[in-house]
Amino acid sequence: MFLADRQPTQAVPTVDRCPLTGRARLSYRRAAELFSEATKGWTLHQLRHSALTHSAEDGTNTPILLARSRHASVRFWNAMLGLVPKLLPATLLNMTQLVVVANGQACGMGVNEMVASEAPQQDLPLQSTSLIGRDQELVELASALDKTRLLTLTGVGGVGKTRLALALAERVGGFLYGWHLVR
Amino acid sequence: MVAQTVARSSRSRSRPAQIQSPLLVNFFRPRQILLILDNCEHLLASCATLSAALLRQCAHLQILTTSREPVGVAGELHLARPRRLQCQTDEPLAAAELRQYAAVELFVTRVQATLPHFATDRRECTNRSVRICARLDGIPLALELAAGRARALPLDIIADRLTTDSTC
Repeated sequence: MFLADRQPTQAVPTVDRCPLTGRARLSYRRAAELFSEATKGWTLHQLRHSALTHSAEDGTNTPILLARSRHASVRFWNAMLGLVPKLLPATLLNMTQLVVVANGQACGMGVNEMVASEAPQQDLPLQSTSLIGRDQELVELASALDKTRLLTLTGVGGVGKTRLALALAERVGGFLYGWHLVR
Repeated sequence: MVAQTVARSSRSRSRPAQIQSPLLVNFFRPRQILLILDNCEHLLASCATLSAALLRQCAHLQILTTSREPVGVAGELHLARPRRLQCQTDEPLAAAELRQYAAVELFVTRVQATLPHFATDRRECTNRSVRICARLDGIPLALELAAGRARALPLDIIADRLTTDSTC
């Protein structure tokens, strides 16, 4: 964690203070600036990347690494770029989102990896906030998914269908390959 | 963006039907995959056709769809989930009870993300949050949007606007 030099004012909440030194946590932006200055151009992203590298060295398998970094496999993007227009039916292109989860190892590629050819969007706002009050429904749906091959979640707009579907996919699939907005 | 890339491909525009199933079937058939089709209500008929074709030909494929209406394919299990989040409508809540109601918990968590000092132990804050959640019927998207307003507007004003102006 990056900490500020000065002691914080009363306004800074305790979660943003270091329990040992009492100093406040830096904003992400300021931390990024300082880090960049100190390392002559590195970004915090690269720092995160480095953590991934270490965990790869420790023997973590590829799916877990991909899930952690939230990157779909870069290798496939270029290889698949030429296939995208051929493989995707118009139906799917008109969907707001297309997500593919494969169980087990990354033995091939997800459709999404073909889709995520140019500008993959790994950081949908959907995932940046915590899921609240859906634990029970997730359990219920995971067991429903054992019994059927086509499960439809219905509900009014804004009730959280997409969000729940993504959470469910993450739960049953182990990890998401990634996804892409193709509105 | 891929959408643009593909939109440029005149082939996919002019002959959508021909690009459909065979290639996807070949892709999905050997794989154990969960395919998610999101917001199917916009293209219900196409989604139904595609799902039916894929499920018939790909033994290990599972499809999860989200839609305002059932897709209408044989074998479909359709569940009215997620439900609206639970919210208390009449009795004022004590701070300790707050987290029992998912709608209130969602709202308060999101407000606290923008306003770290938002005090759930103050009765008026709690009551106003509960009022807002009740007005919004526990719809998460609406709650998120209302919570986003909390940075600029006091909660009682948000609550009042929700009460008096149905378009707000």
